[in-house]
Amino acid sequence: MANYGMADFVFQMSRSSATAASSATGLLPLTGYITEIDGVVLESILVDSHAFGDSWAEALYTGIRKLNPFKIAGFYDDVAASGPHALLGQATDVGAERYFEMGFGASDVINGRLLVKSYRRHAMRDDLTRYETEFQPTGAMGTATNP
Amino acid sequence: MANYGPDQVALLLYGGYDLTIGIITTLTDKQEAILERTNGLGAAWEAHAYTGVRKAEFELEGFYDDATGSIHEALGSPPGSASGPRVWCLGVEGTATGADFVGYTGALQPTYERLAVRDELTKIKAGFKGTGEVRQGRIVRMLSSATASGASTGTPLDNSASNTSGGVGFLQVTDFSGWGAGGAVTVSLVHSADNITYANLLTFASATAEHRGYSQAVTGAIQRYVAANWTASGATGNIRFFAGLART
Repeated sequence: MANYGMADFVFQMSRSSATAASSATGLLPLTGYITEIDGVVLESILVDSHAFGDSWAEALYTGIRKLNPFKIAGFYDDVAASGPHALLGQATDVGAERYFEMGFGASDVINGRLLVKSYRRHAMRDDLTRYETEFQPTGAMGTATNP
Repeated sequence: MANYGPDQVALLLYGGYDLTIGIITTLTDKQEAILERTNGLGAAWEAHAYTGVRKAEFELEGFYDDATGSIHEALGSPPGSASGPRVWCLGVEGTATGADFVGYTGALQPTYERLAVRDELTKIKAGFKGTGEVRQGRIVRMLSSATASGASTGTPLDNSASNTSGGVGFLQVTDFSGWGAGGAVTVSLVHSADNITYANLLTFASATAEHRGYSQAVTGAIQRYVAANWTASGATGNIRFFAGLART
């Protein structure tokens, strides 16, 4: 049994619209620019199946799975070519498709395609400017060992 | 790597109003793609696709201020005012020529709140929705005053290379005074391949009053160096303006 922490977390994505690691033009690590990530949830779509006469709720799997939309956030950084603003903040990045890999430990990696749904910059008093991006996963997700 | 703090939020221009005159404490700029689910019968995973439409919105909070030219004068008209969408330019990366900014070719202000709370100064909160293109650009000439015709070709914006797919220019005029009856200032963006010989790239509508914002699209090639050029007609006066360019 092994526990893992923030030092083990890895997040990287393609710069171009690639559908698999083998065709990605170099996966770029974003790990160092992320200070927050909300829950990454793999979910199955269920439907209630209990009928008249049943006294307990029942459910059935519809055969559809999804990875729920998730957000990453951190300090806004305009470093060229590899930082969050360069990868996610240009006008054509919002709506674009990317390939991503996300690892939480030695043998727990989820990968697949996602769409960049939104990019947000937030400037406030007494703090550095921050960014937040929401991703919409699309299509089949895979699992692998640590990237 | 460059992070930025609150002291570098120095560009907040809305329809020719400089909102940094007031005290803004928080701002949020968001751009979003509109998606649609595309998985059909037989698919085992949800899928989504980009519909081709993006949207942008902007929010800011600060202290209520009714000084001339300040926040309340700029934003206090009832939401949905007949004045229509205004040009928005905002930047969080300082004021140097070449610093990034975001330009809304049009923004509508659907909300304006005044918040009076016991033991606190009155605050404001305003929300904006983009209508039309939102562009990522670079500062050509930071907001500053001019009292006669001139050009910023001595300190041009250097893009390192030219591009061939055009772009959008942004102009914000915050002050315009003393030019006499019929006086006007025409601001243009000029470009050059060698930083020696400049040609006209685009010309904005002539400025004849303060608190005006303009955007102007241009097609074709934009050379490496871009500067602002302004020509005044009429008696000597004062114009305070910002110019920026977003290449495609």
